[in-house]
Amino acid sequence: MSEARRFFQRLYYLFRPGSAESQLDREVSAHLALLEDEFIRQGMSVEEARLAARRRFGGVDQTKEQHRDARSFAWVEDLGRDIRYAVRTLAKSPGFTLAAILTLAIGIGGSTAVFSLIDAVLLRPLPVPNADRVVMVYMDASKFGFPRGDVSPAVYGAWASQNDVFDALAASAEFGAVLQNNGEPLRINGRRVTRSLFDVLGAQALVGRTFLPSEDQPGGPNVVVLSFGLWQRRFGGDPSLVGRSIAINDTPYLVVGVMPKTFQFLEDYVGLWVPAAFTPEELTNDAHYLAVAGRMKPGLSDSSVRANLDTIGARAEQRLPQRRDPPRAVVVSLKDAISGGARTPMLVLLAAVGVVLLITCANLASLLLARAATRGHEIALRGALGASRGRIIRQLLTESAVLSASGLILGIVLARWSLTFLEQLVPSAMTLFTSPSLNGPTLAMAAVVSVGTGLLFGVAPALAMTRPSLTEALKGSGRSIPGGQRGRGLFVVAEVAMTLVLLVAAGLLLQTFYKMRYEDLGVRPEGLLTLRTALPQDRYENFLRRVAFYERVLNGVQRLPGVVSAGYTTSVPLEWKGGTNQFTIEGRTPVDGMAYDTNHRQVSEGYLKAIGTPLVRGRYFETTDTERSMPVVIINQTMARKYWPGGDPVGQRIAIDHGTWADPWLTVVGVVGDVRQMSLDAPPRPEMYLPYRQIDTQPWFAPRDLVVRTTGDPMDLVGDIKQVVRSVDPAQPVSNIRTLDEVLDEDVASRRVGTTLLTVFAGFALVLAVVGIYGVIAYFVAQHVPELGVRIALGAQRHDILQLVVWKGLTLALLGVLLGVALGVVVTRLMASLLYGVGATDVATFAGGAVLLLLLALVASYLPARRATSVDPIVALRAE
Amino acid sequence: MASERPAPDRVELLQGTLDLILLRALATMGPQHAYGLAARLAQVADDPFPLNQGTMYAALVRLEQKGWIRGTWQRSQNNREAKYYAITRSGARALERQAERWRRLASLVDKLLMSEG
Repeated sequence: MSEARRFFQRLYYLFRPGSAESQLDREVSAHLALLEDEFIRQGMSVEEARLAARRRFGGVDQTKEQHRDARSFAWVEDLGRDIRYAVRTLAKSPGFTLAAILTLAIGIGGSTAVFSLIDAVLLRPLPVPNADRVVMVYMDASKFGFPRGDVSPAVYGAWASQNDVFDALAASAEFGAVLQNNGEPLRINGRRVTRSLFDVLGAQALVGRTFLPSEDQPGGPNVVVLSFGLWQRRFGGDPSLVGRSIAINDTPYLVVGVMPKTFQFLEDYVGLWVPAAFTPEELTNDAHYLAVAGRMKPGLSDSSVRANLDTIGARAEQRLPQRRDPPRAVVVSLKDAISGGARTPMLVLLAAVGVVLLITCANLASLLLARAATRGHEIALRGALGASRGRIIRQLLTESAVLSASGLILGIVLARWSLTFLEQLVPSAMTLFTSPSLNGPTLAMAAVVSVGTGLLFGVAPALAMTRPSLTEALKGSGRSIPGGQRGRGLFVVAEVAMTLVLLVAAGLLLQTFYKMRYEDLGVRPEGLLTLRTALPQDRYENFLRRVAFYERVLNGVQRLPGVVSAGYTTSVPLEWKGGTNQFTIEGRTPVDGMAYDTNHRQVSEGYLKAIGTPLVRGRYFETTDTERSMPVVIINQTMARKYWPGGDPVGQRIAIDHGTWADPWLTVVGVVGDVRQMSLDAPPRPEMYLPYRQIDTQPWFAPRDLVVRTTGDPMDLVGDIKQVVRSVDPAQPVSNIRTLDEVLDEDVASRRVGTTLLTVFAGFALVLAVVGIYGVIAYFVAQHVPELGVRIALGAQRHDILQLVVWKGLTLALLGVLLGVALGVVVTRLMASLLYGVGATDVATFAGGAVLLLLLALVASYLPARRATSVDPIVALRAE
Repeated sequence: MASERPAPDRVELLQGTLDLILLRALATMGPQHAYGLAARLAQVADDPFPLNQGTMYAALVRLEQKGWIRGTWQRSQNNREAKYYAITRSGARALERQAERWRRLASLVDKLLMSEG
């Protein structure tokens, strides 16, 4: 009881220190008076009694201090006083304070934002129960350039029926769906999935249910599960839709369920799922078009799963008449499959922001050291008056803490504001269920970072300022503190080094970005519009009907004003990263271990010209290449180089799919430039273009993307083009309306964000480094006014002084640059996997960064140096 | 609570001792001001008390905050204004507890010193 009572009383006095203090004053003076009375009674004079009373009582201030300690929480009061003092001191130099808080805010805010991104993408668990047991299973097709290749139904069927490692195995394939929306056909991205997919992902429907076993059977009923997004957008979130039928591809499908908003498997824009309902025939298909995921039995490792699947694959292969390589499984955790690619870029960003934070600290420490010079006298005085070193250090650290706390608050505001920008770095396979946010862990991290930085930049100056050489500071003018100059020099060297590393990293990424996005594209994207008219297979099974559609649409579009040219293709670059055929070359035995595999694109005769792919040899397709003329093919340079090294492929003949076609031999009539069709940072694959009129088999390669080269804004023509399509087939939807520039932009979207961020960080670091150099040199000049005065008085010339001071700054910068190059060579190697078209140790980039830094260092030292030359020797010497 | 603290270290023992002495003095003498208490201690100790008189104030405010003594401003015999402290009922109880504890502790220390001497 009594302790609790005392606690509240102490708390009370914490907020009302005044009343207790005056009471104590009264009490103490009464006490002294009584003592004096006593001593006077003993025969002392009034003056003697007064002194004796003081002696007997002891130190009045000490008593008050002890009383304060006992009465209240002294450390809280001290802290409050320190904070008030720190705020007052900081307010006296608003420029410094503002700059310090801003730089800290950028450092702390930047690291908080990047950390929240890492938290969202890499740290948070997937919203999948026992996610550590969920894996993606691919087929190893590295030989063809696909280390994580899609699985064929034949292999999936064998795995699914014979494995002993999965609780559930599931497959998913594309399913093009056309919905009718107010009379206008609308293409929806759908998926055919096995019922087990929902078990693998541990997902339940938000409304209704997922598929029943009886529905995932050949000949089962037509049922569909909708995504939350499609349900909201197209059906207004109407719950009574479940149990009703909707028309998909002109067939009624019963809606059995709607998935939750956050349900996502690999893609972020899937609108609906229908049962895969594999037929026995389909389960013998060797084409690779399935994404396969499995839920492992507890306690199994990826490698034991792979071993089991490979055994099954080898067994299945033995039963085939034709000997081939057995299918090899690649097992990757779901988490790794969807976020693995984001790890390196994010760690690079984290490292960059960490470096920025360090540079900020170095700069602040350096600035505080400079301020220490002007405050040396004050601090020495406080020390002489009895403040302990610990007490003064605490006071100085409070100042750093106030700065870093302000930086923290502003930094959190900055981080919050940058999240929408950072969101673009979330891999598309995760966007529905995670986004960077400021939550408990990220805010805690921000606080830790802020305390850490406060200590980092506060401790060194505090220690230097309180170094126990009071006498020197007291007797001198109080301008200098020992060791400060060298300390600041070291900080600047470190800053320059780290800045150079950031500059080089940013430079390499900028070059990568530029090369990826703008150089050697193999197409001229300006003014190119792309639209998708994927023909439903049931209505366009007839080859001649397809040909008629393409001809009529192209004729109509080419006649529109503002259209330069138009063409059809299986897929515009980057839109389909698969679709390959194996082939053989006439008169050649295949080389062992070499893959004869090439992208298959069916195009109209004007397509290659329309997208601006240059002709290297031979000719483009002509209108005379028809179903009645000689079958022809055009190949890209990669294919020409790989299979006809040093030779001329034009006139050679190839056969596709082991010559199983009716008229197997296709004559190469042309070689065109490479288009980076797989990804802008991936080398091009072999690719062949076939005139769509000559191929009536393989309808899944039938052209679906229309490209239109325009003179003005491509988007202005969308209405007219849609009108042309509608006039040809009113039921045909037009989707994926984008310019080719947008297609290219999307491929590098996350790189753009990452590169922009890193460039901003590097620029910020550069400013800090230059300010750092300027600060040190300006301070050096201020410190050496008398010396410079003497030199000038003794006849030193203007350029001698200039040289002396500038050289000082350049030495620091040079040291920093040397250190930075050494660091950079190590660091940039770690980000080699992010680079394209530029080496990690690109000499020009390193040299450019070094020269930029040295030039700025020169300017930063020249300004104070010029001031040094105008020192008036008379004034300088008189001051001494 | 004070009496339930873990084994007191030396500083705490001294501090607690002063508190105990002050409580005891107030219990026997009745209300007293700080100077009076100091004089009384010097008298009992038969020797100038080995303490700056100012040191008492921290102990007094501690006791007051615990509610064991209460201070009021009054006039002294020689017509000086002074703060008089009186022991409260809970103070008297605390004194009993503390005195008992002190006696036990002292006898324990005594015994230990004897047996090892």
